[in-house]
Amino acid sequence: MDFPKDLKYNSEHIWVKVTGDNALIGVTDYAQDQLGDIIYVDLPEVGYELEQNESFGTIESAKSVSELYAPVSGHVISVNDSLKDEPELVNEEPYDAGWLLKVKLTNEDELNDLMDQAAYEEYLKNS
Amino acid sequence: MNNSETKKTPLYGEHAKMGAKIVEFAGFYMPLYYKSIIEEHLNVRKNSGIFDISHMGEITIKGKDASSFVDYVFTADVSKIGRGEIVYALILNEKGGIIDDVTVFKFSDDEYMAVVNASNTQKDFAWVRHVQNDFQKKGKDVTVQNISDDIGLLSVQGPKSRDLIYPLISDVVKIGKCGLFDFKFQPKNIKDLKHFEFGCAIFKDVNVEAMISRSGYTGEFGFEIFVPAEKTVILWNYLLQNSNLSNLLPIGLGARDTLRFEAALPLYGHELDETINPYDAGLEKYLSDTKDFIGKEALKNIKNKEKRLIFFKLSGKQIPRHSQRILDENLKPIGCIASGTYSPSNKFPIGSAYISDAGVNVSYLKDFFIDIRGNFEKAEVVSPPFHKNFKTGK
Repeated sequence: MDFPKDLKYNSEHIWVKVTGDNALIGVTDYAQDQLGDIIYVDLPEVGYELEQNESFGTIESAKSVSELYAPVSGHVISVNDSLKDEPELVNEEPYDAGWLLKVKLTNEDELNDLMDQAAYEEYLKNS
Repeated sequence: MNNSETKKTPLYGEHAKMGAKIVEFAGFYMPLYYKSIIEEHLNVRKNSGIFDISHMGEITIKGKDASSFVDYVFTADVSKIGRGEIVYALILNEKGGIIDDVTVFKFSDDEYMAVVNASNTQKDFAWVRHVQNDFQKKGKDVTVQNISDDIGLLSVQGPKSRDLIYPLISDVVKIGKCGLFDFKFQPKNIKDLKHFEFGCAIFKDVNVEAMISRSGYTGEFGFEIFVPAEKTVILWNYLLQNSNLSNLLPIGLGARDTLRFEAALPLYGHELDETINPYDAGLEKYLSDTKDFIGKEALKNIKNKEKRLIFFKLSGKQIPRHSQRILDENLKPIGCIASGTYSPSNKFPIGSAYISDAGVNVSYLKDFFIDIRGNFEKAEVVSPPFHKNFKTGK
């Protein structure tokens, strides 16, 4: 299982990739593996205000539904529309074509609440 | 299970070695999937798949009065079938509610075996033992036994499953022992078995003798293979080593559910439970009208269906789940979801539901909604099965 070094992670298995004051958000390799075949991703629209630790959508696999919990607060500036027709991209490329949202950060301090790669791997070991 | 810890089938170690995602189901640790529910599902429809269903229960019924016993406990005409044949039947309680749905195998007029749902094995066994005690008090000769732990059960399903099984077996057509079973009739060759018949064969290379039935829970051509529990690992690995014969994949419970649901086969706890009677579930053809059985008296007073089971498809992508509400076009609640799943064959969500008014005109239900976590998703009534070309409307 792969957890890139340049990402930050929350305990709900969501990753964040920060570029300037923008952040790309997706689910981790661990999450997609646990979920199995993903067949539906319910995401907010552009303009939605994400609030840290609040649910911003659901991800549904053949067997279960899971809530998605925001790793940071932010203003949604882009949504991955490819997932409407190809939700399996989340399984195939969770860190690339399977990204979920792009947000403009509203509180950069929140990034300090997130885990780096080493801490996330440690967290998975203990959970 | 409330009185014991989670059990493992003889194949638990093999599933774990293969990296299966393991879940608890009906008191057993079972594989949900090995790689992908969708891939496994489609492979069974196109090629073949092997399932560990050793969690299912087996109850034998033996004695001079076994025939009158099975006819009393089960709803169908069980004793009338031939030796080497299988019948689908229900066990009802005194009120006509469904205790379980089962298949019953006939070895002779003195010997039968019921294959029951894993989730109900203990309940069913307690029930038949209770009836056995009543029979014995009246001087009748019948004994029931729960042999579930002694049996490993594999299911090989799919249009190519014959290409796997036929080359690996030699038929055993003699009267006498067949693994754990005792055949008092000369069984047919496996190739000559029709649906719901069983015979005996030996897997030559590994010297495993097995009872093989032409049956399954997928809507496909297939076999179920009963072996002594201690031989299950040998046979499982042997069949997978020969997977190239039929493009065989191991299949988990996830695809077992999507396959059975596309074929509109009921699942206990979803389409069936003790609050549902056979008429509600559309299973009246499995009720004998030529003999008495437990629950028959109560069914006489059920003049009309109380509920109606419908099948539907959704235009959206969200999947309906058990016990979500069904709403009519005015958003009035009219029923509840029995089963809901994603249909890998059709690539859209499908489901079944009990409508609380059995008199409802189904064509009127052309547009209705399912409350999926607050989203009202539009659904349309269809005629199953879902894996063949099915008609919309009704």
